[in-house]
Amino acid sequence: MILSDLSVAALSARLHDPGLVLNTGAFRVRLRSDVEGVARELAAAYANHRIESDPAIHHMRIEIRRGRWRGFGRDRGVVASVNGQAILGPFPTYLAYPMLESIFNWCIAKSVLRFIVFHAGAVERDGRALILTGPSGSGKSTLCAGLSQSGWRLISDELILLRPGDPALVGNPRPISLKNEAIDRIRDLGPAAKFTEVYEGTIRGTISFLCPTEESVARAGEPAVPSRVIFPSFRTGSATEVKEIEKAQGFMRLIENSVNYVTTLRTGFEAVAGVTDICRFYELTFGDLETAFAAIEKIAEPEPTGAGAAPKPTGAGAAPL
Amino acid sequence: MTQDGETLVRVLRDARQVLTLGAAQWNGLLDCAGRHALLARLAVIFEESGLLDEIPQTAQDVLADARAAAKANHAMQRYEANRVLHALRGLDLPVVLLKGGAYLLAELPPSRGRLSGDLDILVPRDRIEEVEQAMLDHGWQSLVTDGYDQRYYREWSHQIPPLRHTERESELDVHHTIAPPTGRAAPDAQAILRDARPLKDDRLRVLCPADMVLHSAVHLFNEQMTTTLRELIDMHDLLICFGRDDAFWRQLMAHAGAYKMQRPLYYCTRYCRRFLSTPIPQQAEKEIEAMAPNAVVRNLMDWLVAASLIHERPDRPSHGADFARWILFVRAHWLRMPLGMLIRHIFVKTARRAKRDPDSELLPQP
Repeated sequence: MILSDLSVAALSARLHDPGLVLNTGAFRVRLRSDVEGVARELAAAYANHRIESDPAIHHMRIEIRRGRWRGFGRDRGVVASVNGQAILGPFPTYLAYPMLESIFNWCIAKSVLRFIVFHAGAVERDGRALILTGPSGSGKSTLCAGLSQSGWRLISDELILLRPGDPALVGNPRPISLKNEAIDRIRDLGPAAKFTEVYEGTIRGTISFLCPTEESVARAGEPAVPSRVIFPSFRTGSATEVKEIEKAQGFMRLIENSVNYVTTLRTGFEAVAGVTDICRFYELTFGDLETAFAAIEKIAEPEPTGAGAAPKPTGAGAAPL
Repeated sequence: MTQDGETLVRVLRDARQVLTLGAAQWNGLLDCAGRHALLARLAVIFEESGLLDEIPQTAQDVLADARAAAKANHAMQRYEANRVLHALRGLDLPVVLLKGGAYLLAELPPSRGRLSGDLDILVPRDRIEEVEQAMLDHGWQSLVTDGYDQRYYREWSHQIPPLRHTERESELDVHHTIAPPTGRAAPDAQAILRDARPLKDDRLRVLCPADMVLHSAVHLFNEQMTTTLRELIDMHDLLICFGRDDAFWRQLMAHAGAYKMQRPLYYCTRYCRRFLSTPIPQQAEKEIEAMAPNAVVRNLMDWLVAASLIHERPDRPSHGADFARWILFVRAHWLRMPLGMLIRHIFVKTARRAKRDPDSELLPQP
């Protein structure tokens, strides 16, 4: 059963008790909430996601509950807890849904060690995956959102999961959090992009969440092997520039963006080394989406098969494409 | 005990019981094990029983995360022990590891899947100032800034105020004996240090088997009993591991008598057997039975331990368990210091709580 099979009222009843077990690809998360509006937002954000029928075993239990009474006419706020332990809050009630997404991210970053987790986004097409990583504000979510609306499958955004061994990225397509102008830029791409409400006045400014495409969700179970790692940096008014960087440098920048590289010990090192072996690394500076997408398409092109199939060794400060 | 707690104890005793669990019970088990920091322990016992592939995938995932976390914790503990040795080089001093660090570096069974938040070491009392200075010179800082608490530790406790490394934020407890000098137990620190056994790296030592069990028992049953189940498992593992040797039991009785630790030893074996079915040889059992308190105290302890063994879900608190913990808290203080001192301690702590010093609330309260 997928989430849109349930009416908002039925969803709301499940959220009260015994909780809704949402399958996001890599996780089964039990969501519980007595806060009005959460059901409606989940219906918009996770429309295509599978829900598990109870009784089901979950990886984690996230609850968003109304806070304590704080006086007449004052917002009681909402409090988030994980596995029964209060973690965050109270927050203003209207931020209940964004808070749920934050706490979900927190859970993954804090407790998941069977994957190497990176602060990044990833998309895939024809079996080849791109990793987009960098600090907040670098534009990686915007690029991920845009690519996922134009023929690429969203593997995951905000936090990506690298399965050691292969190494491969595990699908966990969740709503993409977009900030400020990025919301309108992605809306401009066409009516297929479905959003949640717009939340103003958060610590990150105005945010809204883009519902992952039906295809991304349906194919969440397919792991993807990464072939390119892109470090985007958005600069207003800048021309689009691409620079390939050395693998050693790429390795270091990948681990800088990992949230559990240190705690995964040797497993983490070997997995990132594996990614470094099979990927090429690029810096992408951009000021507008259209040329950025064109540049990414070019970066993503496979090496010509046959004689020159192996990636060319890259010299210091490799030439721009 | 909660239903989830009963499931957890049942599975700890017999791993195969896990094959009978339904999804709701699995959620309860994982939740409860998580609260007691026992997820990695479950992973280990399932692996040892060859059950890991037979349990549901979601549970396997949760246990795999916990397993990896324990592995990282162990690497961190080994590194901390290495850093302590580095800081103390040149002092020509054996460092005796206690509790989690000892189990890990001596490769003893309680270390399987065990998480430790801090490292505990034991050094001779007359060298403790040198040790503290060496730690302060190498990046550790005292966690206790309050004058009364500092004095409390230095005069009446079996350790100096806890230290924390400024960069790694790891905590280190430096002890000079294994129980508070003001308390009922009377350990002979010199004899304990003399009996300690060297590890492969002979700069490090661990307590001799009898003292290791007694230390754990005193810590659990004379102090606050906040991590009861975890420590009960430590003792269960130690008793099985050391208990194959008859000499261990003779030494255990002798040291319990010499250090006035008969009562904690009695509770240790009683509750290990009750909750974890720990095998105790008949002869030892008979001798330990003579250490029992009167029936009223025994029944009361039975209730207190059963009520506080399992931490309930924070969103479903139990007044009975809270009450049991409060009594254990009072009892721990009663056992820790003579009455006159206790009254003074309560007076100072109450007066300062009334002043609502928010900083002192964040620190470990002696």
